[in-house]
Amino acid sequence: MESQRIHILLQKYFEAETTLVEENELITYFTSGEVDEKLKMYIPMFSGIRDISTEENADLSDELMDYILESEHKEKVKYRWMWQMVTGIAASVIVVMLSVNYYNSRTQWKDTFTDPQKAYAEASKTLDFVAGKYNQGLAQLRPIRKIESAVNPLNSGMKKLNKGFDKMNELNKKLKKE
Amino acid sequence: MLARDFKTDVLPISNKLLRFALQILQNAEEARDVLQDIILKLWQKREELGKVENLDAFAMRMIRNRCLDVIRSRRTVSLEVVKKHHLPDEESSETDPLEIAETTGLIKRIITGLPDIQRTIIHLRDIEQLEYEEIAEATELNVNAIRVNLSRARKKVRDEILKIQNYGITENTYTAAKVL
Repeated sequence: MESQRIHILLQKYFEAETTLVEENELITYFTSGEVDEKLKMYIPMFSGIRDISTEENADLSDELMDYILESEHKEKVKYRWMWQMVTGIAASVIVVMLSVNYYNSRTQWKDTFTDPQKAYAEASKTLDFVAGKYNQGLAQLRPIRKIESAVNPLNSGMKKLNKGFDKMNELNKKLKKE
Repeated sequence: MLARDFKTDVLPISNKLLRFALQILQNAEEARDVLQDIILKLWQKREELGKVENLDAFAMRMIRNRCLDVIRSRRTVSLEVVKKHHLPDEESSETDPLEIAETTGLIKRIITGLPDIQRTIIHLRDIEQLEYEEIAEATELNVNAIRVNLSRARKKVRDEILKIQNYGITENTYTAAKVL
């Protein structure tokens, strides 16, 4: 009776129509040691499947947990190092900014006049002085204009000369044609 | 998910995940690396794992995707390594066929020789005993396609075993095929 049922289950099994429960029934039957002579050829298949599915490494979970903790530790060290870098840079930037600020505050401009009108008069006097010196400097550059006027007659002479050359060219061409 | 829950819910399936990675990659070192990677990822996302409906299928899919990445990346490295792991041992054919037939190594080798999809599906169903819906989630295939491939894979494994068992006795193979 049982072998007949197993037979049907096998047919269903090879058509992928069995449930997990039925498949376990097959595995149990074929690994029980009491298998019908006609069906013995299926023992290796089901015992092999069972053996593969029970192959386990008992220490695997512990190894993985160790790996997780180790990676987390590495990550923490990495972050700590990054944090130290960032805070270090930030601290030095603050120090530089503070010292620049301190230096600037020491060289602040101070008011030397109490009366604004006096200050205005003094400022315009100073600016007049600067403007006067500037004009003096420009006046010394005046002779450059003379160079320009001296060059002018030279230019007109050159133009005449060029015209003469052009005419000579034309004459040359005519002569060649003839 | 708390660290304690992680230890009781996720770590116990690590053997299953390792077997699956090994089945796909056929390389113990790579499979171990993939497993460590995925477990660490799950650990970092443990807060969100409570929302995952089926943790087994979810983790299996992560393993499968990462393994496929590894295969893609090593294709450019060396074909020799892959070949070495895929080809069955030539020497074993010299020993008694029945003796080999009884070893799990034979089944492993036969499954290893199956096409990728069939190999993955027969592994998830027969070795890891996942429901069809879970396999669908892990492989992103529909249940019908899974059944078709599973049926083909099981028949191939059966035929290979019968071929080795009845090495030279063709009659028996014939009757066995007739019986089913």
